[in-house]
Amino acid sequence: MSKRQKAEFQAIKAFGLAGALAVTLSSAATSPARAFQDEGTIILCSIEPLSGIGTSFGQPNYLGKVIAVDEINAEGGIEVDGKKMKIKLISEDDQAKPDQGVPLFRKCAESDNALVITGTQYSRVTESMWGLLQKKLDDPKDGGLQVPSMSFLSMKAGVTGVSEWAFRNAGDEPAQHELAIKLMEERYGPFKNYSGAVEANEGHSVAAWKAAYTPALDRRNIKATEYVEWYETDRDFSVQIRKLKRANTDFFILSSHLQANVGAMLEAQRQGFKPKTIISHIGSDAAEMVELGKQSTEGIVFPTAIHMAFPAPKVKWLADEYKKRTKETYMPQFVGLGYEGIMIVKEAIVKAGIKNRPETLAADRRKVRDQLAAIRDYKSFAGMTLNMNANRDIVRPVYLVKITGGDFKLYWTPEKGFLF
Amino acid sequence: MSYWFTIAALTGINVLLAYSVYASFMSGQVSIGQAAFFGVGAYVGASLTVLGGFDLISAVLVAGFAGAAASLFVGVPTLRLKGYHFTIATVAFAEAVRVILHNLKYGRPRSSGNVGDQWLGPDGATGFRHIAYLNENGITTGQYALIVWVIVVIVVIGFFLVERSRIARILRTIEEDEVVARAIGIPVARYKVAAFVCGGFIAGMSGALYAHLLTFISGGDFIIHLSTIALAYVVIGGGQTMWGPLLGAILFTVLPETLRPIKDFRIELFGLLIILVMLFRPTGMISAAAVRRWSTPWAPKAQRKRPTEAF
Amino acid sequence: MLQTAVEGLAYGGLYALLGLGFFLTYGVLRRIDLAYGTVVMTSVYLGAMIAGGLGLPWPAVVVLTLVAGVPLSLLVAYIAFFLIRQDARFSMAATLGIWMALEELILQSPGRGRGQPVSNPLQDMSLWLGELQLRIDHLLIFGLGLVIAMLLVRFLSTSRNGLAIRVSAYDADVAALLGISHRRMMILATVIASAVGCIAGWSFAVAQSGIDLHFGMWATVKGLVILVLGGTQSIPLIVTAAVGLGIAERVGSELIGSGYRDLVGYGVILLLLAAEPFLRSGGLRSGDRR
Repeated sequence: MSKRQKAEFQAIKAFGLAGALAVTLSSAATSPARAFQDEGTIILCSIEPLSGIGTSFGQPNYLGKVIAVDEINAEGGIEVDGKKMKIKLISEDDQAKPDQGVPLFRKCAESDNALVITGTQYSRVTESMWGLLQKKLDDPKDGGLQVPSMSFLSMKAGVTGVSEWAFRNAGDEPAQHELAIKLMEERYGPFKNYSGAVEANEGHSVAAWKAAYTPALDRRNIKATEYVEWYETDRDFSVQIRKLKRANTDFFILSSHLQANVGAMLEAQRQGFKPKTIISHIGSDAAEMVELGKQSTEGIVFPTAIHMAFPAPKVKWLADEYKKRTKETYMPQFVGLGYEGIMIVKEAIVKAGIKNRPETLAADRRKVRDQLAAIRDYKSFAGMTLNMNANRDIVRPVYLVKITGGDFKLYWTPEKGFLF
Repeated sequence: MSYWFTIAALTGINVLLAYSVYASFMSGQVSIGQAAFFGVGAYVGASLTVLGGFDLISAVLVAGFAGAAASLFVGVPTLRLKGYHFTIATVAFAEAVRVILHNLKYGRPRSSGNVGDQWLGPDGATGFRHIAYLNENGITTGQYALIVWVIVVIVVIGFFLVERSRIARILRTIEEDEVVARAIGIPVARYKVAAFVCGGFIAGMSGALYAHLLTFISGGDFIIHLSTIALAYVVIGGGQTMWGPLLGAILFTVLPETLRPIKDFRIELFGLLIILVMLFRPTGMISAAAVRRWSTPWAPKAQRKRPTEAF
Repeated sequence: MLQTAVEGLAYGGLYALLGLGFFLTYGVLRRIDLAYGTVVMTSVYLGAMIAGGLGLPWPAVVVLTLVAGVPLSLLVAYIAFFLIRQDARFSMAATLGIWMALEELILQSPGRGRGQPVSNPLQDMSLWLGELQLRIDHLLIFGLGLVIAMLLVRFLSTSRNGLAIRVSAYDADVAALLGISHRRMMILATVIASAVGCIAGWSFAVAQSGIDLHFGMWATVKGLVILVLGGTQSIPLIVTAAVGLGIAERVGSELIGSGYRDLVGYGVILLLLAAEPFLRSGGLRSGDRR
């Protein structure tokens, strides 16, 4: 064989091999999804970013779900049609990419026949996934998917508007921020200059500014004294911080995520910019704020959904369980939201009275959806009471945490008010 | 099954994206800016169905022309540049387009939206929601995959015909040596621009198809990663013949899906795959020689030289 | 405005270091290394992670970064530029693969892709000249950039190895005729480029008190931009371009806000490139083709 012939032969071989590999693997990937119905398990899907840039959010959220499913199964499962059935949680990884999330959502809905699809973390991906759903219930002209889906931390305001099958357990962000602003005003006010900084390439931060902070300021007839933007990838915040400082900002709204927050706050410390009050949005209370920001992030206040410092014993148990599985000492709120989300879904399934047979899947899904929409006075493991609102967002009491002494400390609770 | 239909549709979209790179690749021009034309096509296509009441096919075609116009705009001044400077110009253009798309707001208010969801059309960084043409018109994923692949087949046939015509030989001559091409009277600039604009047209169509599959788009979708991966399809599959981009895009889209069982190490294998192919089969998986060997007697007999060595 | 310009100057020093690394890679190997920023990021990340894990003091981060970065760069150059040398386009694709693989490696590391703290011993030290604030760490970094640039100029224009690198960059065949090993020069240039890049990455991380995944692509894009602005001919031009970019970016975001800030930068590049064939100043050599 000449050199060239050899090369060609190799090419054909490589091509054939790749093709064969693809076919085998794809058949392997589709087949196991079929059998579940006979085994008498309830299929739930979890789509989260487990690799790629969203890992540090998706992993904790997924772990929270796993802990919940393990707990339910350890008790024998959920009673369906007279007998106990275990939950099978199918986990998929969307890498925080919409073009992965879309096929996965279809896989969960139509191949895995999941009763409920939970996820995902990144609002950008959630938007595309929920766009596949039927927009309005009982609309015969709409060929969209009809499966209940619940995201435990797509924060972007307004995402559930995409479909009546879409639910969120992320809290009512406008209400959270309104309350946070009001409380801080009562305690430290009056303030003269309200200024905002927005992470302009982050849908969630922009939406929070538009749908939560701006209306809150409007209600007070206040126009932001200064408004600056930066990007998640920015490394230098000197210009923006100087503008904020020049505006004599005393109430600083940080509508941005942890990486940019840390850089901005370090710069603020350097320039000696010390507003009386700083509030930031949910999802930013990650360990990095303290690890990387050190002194500079002291005093920032966040609304939070579930915090490991909550007094409920089950929260402590969850934090221990999380620590046991990951060796991490700080439990992000995503763990609690994942855990709680599965428990809410369980509640809806129990109430829905499903049959869980292949032929009843469509009816079962509808029943569960209706039960999710009707969640009222649900008692969370973390101690608070939850309600689903008309926008299909779970309304939950707001708690505030404050970075104090290099740690996130519970700062305000509805029951006790300010704790320090 | 609809999972695989979605993958099929995505694969088709990526194949189109690969061909948009390949069009100018044939003349030796490397673009890392196809995300720009893809993004323009996505925004134009989605706007037409959502706001303008167009049907899908017309929207896709108009989106193609929008992509072509954008590529004409950037191609005319920059295709005179040599080597990498053209590549860098495409990167700069793509980033500029991303910034513009990111800040774009037009459309009309929605009467019945939730808080934070009261706008129809692109709303700056919040993105472009409610691209619901498929659901509203009862187009299933299978049907959509079919539509995408009909377009792909038309494009493939187009390339098949071009590959066997004088045009391809002219483009390859330009790829091998621009000076020689000019010396034998080929209007080099015109051919380069034409090839690039064809690429822009295909990318525009592909973008419109993407927007309707994804139902939501935002400026952040069209980052440099997309352009580089589009280029990788061509380089991995093979840039010497039209079968390369086809294979590259199919492999790149389907393989990661089939590798789902080995969840944690997916991307590493993916990156590794690029390195391995470049190491052991740098002409891409399908080379011109291999195609000649497989093809039947009607293939052109003229021996083509391999592209010039870089050193 | 003056304050902004001064800060831009400091960032110009950092950009200069990034640009110089790119300049050496491109100048000598005639290859675009898309993994450049990612390699630097990976090295600093590993350095910070290991030093943080073992509780080592801050100078250890520099050492660890260099220990990780130089071999890594050599490996990248060996795979992407030596083993794959038929066509620059293939090399570029290989660096793309390396970029993706490294990013994923960081995500699978014990750090899980989370930002790693890098302590800044000079965090709050500033000189105040009236209203003007000068960060000591910025001054040092700017000085470092200038010193390294001057050393490189000296090295390339007077030392034996430096001249050999330039000959080799100009024409591998001529170099071979003169008895210069192209391979050796490639290795030397890669080592220098990666060391400069690592120092740039580290000083950046120190100035920002941390390092995260975003830094990789960001550094690559900045390096490319500086290469376009400064050209491939001279180090002073690269440094000027870097400083210019640093100032223009800061002043730009002061004047027009961040939303369209980047648009100005990319617009300038496009204009420059579009005008280039007409200007032909400094003229690109024919050897520049791929």
